[in-house]
Amino acid sequence: MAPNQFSRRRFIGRTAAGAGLILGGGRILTACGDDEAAAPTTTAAPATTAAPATTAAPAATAAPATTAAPTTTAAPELAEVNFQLSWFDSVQFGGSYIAHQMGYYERFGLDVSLVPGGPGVSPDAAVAADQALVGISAANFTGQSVADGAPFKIVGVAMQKNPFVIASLSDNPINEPKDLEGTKLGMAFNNQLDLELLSELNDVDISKIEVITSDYDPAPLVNGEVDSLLCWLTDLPVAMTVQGIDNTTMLFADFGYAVHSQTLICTEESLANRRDQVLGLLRGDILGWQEYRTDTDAAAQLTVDLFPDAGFDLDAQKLQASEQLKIMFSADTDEHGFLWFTDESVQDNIRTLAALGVDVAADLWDRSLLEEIYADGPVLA
Amino acid sequence: MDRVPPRVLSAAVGIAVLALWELLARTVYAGSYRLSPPTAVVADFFEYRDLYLRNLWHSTKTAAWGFLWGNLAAIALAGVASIMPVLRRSIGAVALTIFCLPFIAVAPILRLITGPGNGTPITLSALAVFFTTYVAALLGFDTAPGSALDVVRSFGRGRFSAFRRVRLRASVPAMIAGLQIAAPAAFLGAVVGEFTGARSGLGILTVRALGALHTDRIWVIALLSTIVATGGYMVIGALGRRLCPWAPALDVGAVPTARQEPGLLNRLAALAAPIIVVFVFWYAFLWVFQIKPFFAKTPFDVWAELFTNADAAETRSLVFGALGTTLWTTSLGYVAGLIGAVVTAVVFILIPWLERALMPIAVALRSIPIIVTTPVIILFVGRGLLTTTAIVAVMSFFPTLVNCYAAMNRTPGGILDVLKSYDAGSAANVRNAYLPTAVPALLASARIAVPTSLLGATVAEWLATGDGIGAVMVIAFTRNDYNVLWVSVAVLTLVAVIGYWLVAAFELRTLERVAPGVSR
Repeated sequence: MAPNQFSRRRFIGRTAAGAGLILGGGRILTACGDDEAAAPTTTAAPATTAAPATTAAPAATAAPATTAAPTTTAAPELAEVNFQLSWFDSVQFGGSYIAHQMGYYERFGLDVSLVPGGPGVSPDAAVAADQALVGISAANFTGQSVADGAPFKIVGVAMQKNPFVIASLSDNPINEPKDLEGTKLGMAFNNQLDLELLSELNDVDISKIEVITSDYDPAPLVNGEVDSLLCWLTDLPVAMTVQGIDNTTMLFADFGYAVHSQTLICTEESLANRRDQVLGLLRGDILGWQEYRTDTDAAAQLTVDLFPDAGFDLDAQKLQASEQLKIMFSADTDEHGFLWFTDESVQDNIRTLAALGVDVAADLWDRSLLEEIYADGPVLA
Repeated sequence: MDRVPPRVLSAAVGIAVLALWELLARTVYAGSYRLSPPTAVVADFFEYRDLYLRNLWHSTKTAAWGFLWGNLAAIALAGVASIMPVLRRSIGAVALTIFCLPFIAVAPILRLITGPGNGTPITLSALAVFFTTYVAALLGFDTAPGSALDVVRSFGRGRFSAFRRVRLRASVPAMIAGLQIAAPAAFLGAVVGEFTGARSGLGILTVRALGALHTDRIWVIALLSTIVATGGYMVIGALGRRLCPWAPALDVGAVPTARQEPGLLNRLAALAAPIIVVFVFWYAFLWVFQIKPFFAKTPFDVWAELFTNADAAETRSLVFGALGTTLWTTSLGYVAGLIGAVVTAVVFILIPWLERALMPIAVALRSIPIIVTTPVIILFVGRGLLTTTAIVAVMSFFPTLVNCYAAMNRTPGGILDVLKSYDAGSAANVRNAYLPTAVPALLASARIAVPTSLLGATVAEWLATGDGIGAVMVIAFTRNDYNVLWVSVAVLTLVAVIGYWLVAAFELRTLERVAPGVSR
């Protein structure tokens, strides 16, 4: 399998996304050449879901004769698209896993591969290079790319509040930005601008914060090398809580830092020429996340079952899944629907991004897809 | 002490280290999420055996494919260079350039070409083995016995025949030595490659374990990586000894020279050809893969970003400022590693029982992937400029030690006998016999260590210190600033190539003086 995949990918490259159909016979390419990207398909349905996806989904346009057949020949009219996630697999993308597992994407004519990210993956780049129809990015990255000439639109916002927090131990808590003065902060070095902005917005003297590089790792805080960490609400604090370490988190979003995170982006070209596919992907995703919200434990269990090689701790996934609700859903999404963004929040973002040195216009955001999707109300049936 | 068998000594040292480790982990570092006691590490491995073995298998498989493709390409190109000496300089320049490319910036660019999946990890691990195998294979082809070549020639056969019948066979020992080094390198490439979005493998499992405070897991992974990398090294070594038991242990490290033609014009041509070839490759790379202009930067774009664009001054100060930091910390570590290696080799020569006890450990340590070493070094020296220096020192120390000791050990008995007849002491022996014998090995190691030190420095800057050109590249990548990314890659690669050639030139001149028999 691997040499095949290697030679194909290496020598055909991304230019031959269409040619892949000729070479591999479409579905077969997904079935054997693409096991990395399409892992969920190959894993058995976990107990939490009612039935295997392929039979449960009455694909909108599928020919009746082929729906019951094995995967290799099923529903050839499904369009294959990649959805570039922003990080390694985890329940962070639980709603999308549900959508995949339950056949919600297929309902809209799509065979979606959920492609994991990582430290060496830029979702913006993957979308710009046509390796993914839709990617999960953040407004600051996308704004920068657009300023550099990449034609992106933000078509949905999965995290209403930015997930950045300052995490500290509860017996030495950082409750507000001012508390950072005179302490040591551990953070990834590419968050320097974010810290500068938080300081500026809250009248903090940044020169009084001693910054130490640390990444993906709560150990420096737990071991007392630093007083706090700049991280996500849903990663390092969750790990500490699961290990029984009392911690305090302070959301950047509660102190004026308005940057949309987990934004769904696509190119202007896709928006013009493949609008139906983008719409379908969003619709399928929304169905998945609506279900996620009703039972986050089930989403955690599904994640653990789908990715046995990740060595997930079920409790950590459950906690992450429920913590995430706090920043993904809000009064705005209840009123308008998941992924929604208000004009007001766009203006807040433009101001915050300008302070970060990224100048963007309001037309970076395109809400027309969501308006179409939620024409009949904020819940998709 | 001399009567104790080496295995027993090594085992004793090993047990002492483990005991000390266990003690430290249970006392000083207890509850610190840093150092796991060996007993806990073993217990964790058995508890999650299936998880570890699945991920280990995945990374090993990736590394094996990279090992295969990279070595095949290297050996094929070395063959071309051997049959057509005209191309030697140019192929060598491309191979060296590939060796000098900073992994951490190349990975995301490769990801844009290969797409999601295993393409990037495999390509990265193929690139990681390419240069050393190329040099080893070429050395092997060159060392074919002249008499055998004469026989082929006397039958009226051409260069291709000579290659097939004589050179290919003669190259086996050198090739094996090259493949030995390639095994751990391939593994490192695969693990770094996993950072470009994988679902399985030890690299991604490390990132997950760090974030989840699974300290035992980090140590299990470190141990498994060491076993696989070292195991690959040893298995290939054993295979080599079985295939050609007559061959002496070989170090890969001959200076890849081409005969210098007289005349200024010829010299200029010899200098220009490889540079032109590298630029042609650059364009060909962009053209073949049809990379969009947003990502793809040509040599002209890089030049413009550095000198003519509106923000050129800003880019220059950013890139060269960071480069200064990197070069400073790297050279400190580089020099410290080399000096430490020579001193240790001398100590080993003078105190043989110590050598027998510690050398196997040193041989094992030289093949541990840096991704695994880094967290351990952070544990001991913290996060700061010293971290980079320490990592670079470790990276240059072990290979140099192994090579220098092997060379000293081959000091001709005649020289030592002469010294003995003059009643010379150990100091005189070291000065007059051992050190001079080790010079070629030291210089060869020093040359190879230039690019690997810079690789180590950028990885350390990325994972631990957050400064220097490694950090600039990562920031540029996360912000999609492909201009700065390509500028950094180009500048850093150029620096590594120049450093390599400076040491190579020094090496040639020194060898002509100290050991005329060695240089060809």
